[in-house]
Amino acid sequence: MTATDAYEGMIAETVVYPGADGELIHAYLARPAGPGPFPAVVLAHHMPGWDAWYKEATRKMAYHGYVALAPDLYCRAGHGEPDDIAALVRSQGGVPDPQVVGDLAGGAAFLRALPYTSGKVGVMGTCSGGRHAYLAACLSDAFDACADLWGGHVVMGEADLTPNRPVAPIDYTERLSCPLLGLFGELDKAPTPEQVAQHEAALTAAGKPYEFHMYPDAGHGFFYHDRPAAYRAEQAVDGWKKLFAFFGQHLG
Amino acid sequence: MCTNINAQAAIAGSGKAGGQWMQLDTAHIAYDHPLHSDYEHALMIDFVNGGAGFGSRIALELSLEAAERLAAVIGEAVRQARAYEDGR
Repeated sequence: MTATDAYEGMIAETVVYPGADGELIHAYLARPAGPGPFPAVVLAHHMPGWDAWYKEATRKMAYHGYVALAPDLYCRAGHGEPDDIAALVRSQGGVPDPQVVGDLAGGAAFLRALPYTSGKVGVMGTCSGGRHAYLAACLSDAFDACADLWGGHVVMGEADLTPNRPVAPIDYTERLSCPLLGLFGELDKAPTPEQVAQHEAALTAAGKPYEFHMYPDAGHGFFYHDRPAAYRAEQAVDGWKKLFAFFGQHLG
Repeated sequence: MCTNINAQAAIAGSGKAGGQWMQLDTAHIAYDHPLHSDYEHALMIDFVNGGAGFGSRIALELSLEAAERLAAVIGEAVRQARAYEDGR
């Protein structure tokens, strides 16, 4: 926490960097003012898109001392109001997993090249972004820590596989390349507590470092203060503390 | 996306939004996280004119119960309409 008489500043702006296949995509970058070196985090946005909550979360990470980058994972679908772009992507069955992994790993490379970063980069995401963060931590070696916040469809049956999501992320668990934090709600339907337990069993069997926390009286999206039905203040406050403790341990 | 409940239908007709009528050619239907409504999941229908893009879509986000009531009423109205047309 910054002392009341200390200088404090933040820079937050849209940037462009090479994502999957070197294609330039937009991202929202927030960073503390100063020379650093600061640890960094890539944020994988949720299914509703590159929206206000994600930009707030990106600035929150910067307030806590991270250079935070939230790529527009729907950038190739075009531009307009975030909800219109999200609806378009929804009608297309989402974005391809390999493309998202390339965008997130490209974000890590972009962050490491900045003169004010420390070289340590984490990845985090909520909802579909939690699933994407986990995939990126398994399918690349770009990250030093991964936080999966209620990512659904890490465990997938054959019937759930689609051309955009051809492999269940749990099947990549052997390849997880960094410590994992998972935050989940007991009332969630995607992932269910049973699916979280299945994921936990796979991590244990593979000998991977992880910590999972299952919150009672919370469902999907319990951090989302702009969603009164989903928001759980007590669980969210504790979840943010656990997230910062985890990143502090592995990226600090 | 988060549920894999996703479908679309070719339609013919028109719709009005923002004081303007437009031709519609596709309805995209999904049950997933809504973009506006305060539900964990909603039945969403986007009525689209493909040429105009999603920025001018007519969007609905309904609770599952509301969608069930609407589907039942539409189904019954369509049944009656078909009987009317076939009986002429």
